[in-house]
Amino acid sequence: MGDEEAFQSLVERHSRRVFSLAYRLTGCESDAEEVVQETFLKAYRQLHRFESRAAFGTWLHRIALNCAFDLMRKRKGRPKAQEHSSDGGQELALETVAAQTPSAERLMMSAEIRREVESALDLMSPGERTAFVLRHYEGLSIAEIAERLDLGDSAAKHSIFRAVKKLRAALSPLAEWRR
Amino acid sequence: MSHVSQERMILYFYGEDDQPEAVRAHLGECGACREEYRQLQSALSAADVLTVPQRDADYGREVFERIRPRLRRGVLDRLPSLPGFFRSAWVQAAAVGAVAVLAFLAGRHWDPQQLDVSGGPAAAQKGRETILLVAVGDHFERAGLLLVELANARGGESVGGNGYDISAEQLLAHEMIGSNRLYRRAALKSGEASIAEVLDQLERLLLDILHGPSKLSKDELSDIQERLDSGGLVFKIRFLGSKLEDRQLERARQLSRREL
Repeated sequence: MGDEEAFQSLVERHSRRVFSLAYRLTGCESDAEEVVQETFLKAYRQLHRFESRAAFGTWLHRIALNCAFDLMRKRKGRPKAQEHSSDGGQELALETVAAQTPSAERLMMSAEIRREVESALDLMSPGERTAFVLRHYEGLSIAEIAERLDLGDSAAKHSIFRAVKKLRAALSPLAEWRR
Repeated sequence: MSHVSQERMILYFYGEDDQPEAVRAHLGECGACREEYRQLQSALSAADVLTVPQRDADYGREVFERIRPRLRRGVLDRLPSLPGFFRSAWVQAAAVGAVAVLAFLAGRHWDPQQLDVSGGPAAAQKGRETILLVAVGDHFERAGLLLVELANARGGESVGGNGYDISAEQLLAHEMIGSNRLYRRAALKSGEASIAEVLDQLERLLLDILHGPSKLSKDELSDIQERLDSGGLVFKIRFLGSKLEDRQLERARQLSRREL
């Protein structure tokens, strides 16, 4: 067995989780794939620095975060290929999507909410988006986020506050419609 | 209590407020804050619609195939042609007078100064060794979780009429068996008896879990737990895992000293 096989087993085990994080951070499949590859390449080159006081998965998560963060900063300012439809004027409900509407309309509403959420995430700065993704989707505590992003607790907290405010602002037309 | 700020509601939503009872009590009595919190919950719940595109079970292999050429360019091409990790590790470690792996596993002191980290065959050996250290360490960590889960399972809690459900453990055993076999063979080739022995013991257990019933009777569960206990497998895995950790840590320290 060679070192490639050993490393392959690590890649096979952790790829999907890295992809999930990268996708949430970048919002784009091709960017996420790029992050996944860069993460494992960087991990391979830096394995000699790995101190196993942390689990390998945690260490890899940190590398993925850095790779994604770098890409997000590079991409910021570049218009995304996909279009957001918030200018369509159709305002839709949030949590009332379920049960009250026929399935076709429900699907349409879900798509609309999804677009608005994507739009809100795009409006966040890389730091805000990263903090929000780590808190909301990855379930990390604020202290853990601060540690991963090399920030103070207060700065991590305020990044999340700003992110949530942007999310709410983007979704407010939908919430208004519900009333 | 005055009204709850949006910031505090966010902390409360995520379970990070210092005094959640006070917030809960206020939301119970203040209609305005309750409505504000409901809207916040609504927005944050909406974020959950953002799903991640699925990747199938072969995804990891595909990723590896994509990066494989760059791994070779990046690291392996700088190294001499070596037939296999362990064999090369042995030969080269002997060449530099540092039989680090076995000495360490035997519990002897390993002198990191004997190894050259600046480049050349010793560095090559170390780079390769590190990958396997991490891979086996990761494998042991995963195995440890599985075994502890089984060791702590209480038959009475889940047995009921249907038996103790180990389908999740079977799935994990299925995922781990291939890697386990590879690591065991590599250890045997290199003469790493202690690792090979533990991996062999683990493999037999994984196979039994995999091919056994997905629901165990209380007695069957007890048999597995006795086996774990008498074979000391959990302890061995943890012991070897910590040895691997020590080696990785020492390696990182060694590198840091060199970089200063």
